[in-house]
Amino acid sequence: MNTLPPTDAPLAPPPSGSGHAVPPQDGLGHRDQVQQRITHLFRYSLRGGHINPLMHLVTEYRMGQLP
Amino acid sequence: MSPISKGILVSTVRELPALPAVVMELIESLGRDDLSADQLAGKLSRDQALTAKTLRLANSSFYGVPRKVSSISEAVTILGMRTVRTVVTAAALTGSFKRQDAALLDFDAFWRHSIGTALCAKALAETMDLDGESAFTLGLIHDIGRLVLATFFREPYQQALIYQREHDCLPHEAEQAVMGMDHTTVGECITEHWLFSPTMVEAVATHHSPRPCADPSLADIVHVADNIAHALGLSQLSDEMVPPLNLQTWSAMKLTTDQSGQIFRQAEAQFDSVCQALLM
Repeated sequence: MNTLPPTDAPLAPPPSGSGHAVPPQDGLGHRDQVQQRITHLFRYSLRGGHINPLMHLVTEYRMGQLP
Repeated sequence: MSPISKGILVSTVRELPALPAVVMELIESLGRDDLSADQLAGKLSRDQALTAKTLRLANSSFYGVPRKVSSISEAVTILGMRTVRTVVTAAALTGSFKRQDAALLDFDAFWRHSIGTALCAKALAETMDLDGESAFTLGLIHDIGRLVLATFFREPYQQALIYQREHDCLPHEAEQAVMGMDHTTVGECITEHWLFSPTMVEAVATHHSPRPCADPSLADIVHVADNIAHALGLSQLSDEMVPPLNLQTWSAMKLTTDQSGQIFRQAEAQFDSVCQALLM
């Protein structure tokens, strides 16, 4: 019955934050990676044109975690 | 694929094994303070696995206990009855379904998201002077309907997962499209079966569609906590997606930027230790 593989392969590279190591690279690379991950997470709201205040707050939080 | 009728769902849920009797009593007593440490320790002593898991969580850095807790009575003395009740309930709920029976789901990712939501819900509730312990338990079970679907309705659930992947939509949208119901309805059914209070059943049922009111409720807390846990990507799934946030519910919480950041930080700081304790 269980013919469907889990949809759930981990992202490569892993998400920023949540205790996951981010491969070393320059600051700009980190910022792009964070922005990309957040855009991906919030794609439902972005596609539908819905406002989600968390997007701004989480972006600010993640950027603040960067070296 | 024909929809799942409410009747079939209810009869399936009724046949599910109940949680351990001591946990049912704890759930029923949430919000009350009339259980003694000795009573709890006595009841738990018959379930060694649950006791061990409870002590593992009590000893995790989440609770920051300075010395090793080696018995339930000691845990109650150090952490207090309300906290230990949450710990026991969390230990039991995370062991209520078998990994191999829900193989359609990434079991660890499911619980990572649930634990993340629980931590965010507790932090949010405490920020708003609501009951953090109930909020934690609610966060943990808010998606429990997905586990029921993946375990007992495998074929339609498999179709829902295919639909979700093809349409890159939210899980509850795919479930509705394929099965004519979603995990919130299933969650409502199972939390009723497990004798959670009407407030908690409603919070599970409405976590994607809260009914905003002036004063935030536990249901509002779970809706926002679910959103935050997805926004922080705590499940670590590649296809994780943040659902729509109800703006009225969000505004009613009146969170400042500093408070939001504090909730994010606190949840992430506690996340690994709670996952380790509950997912071993």
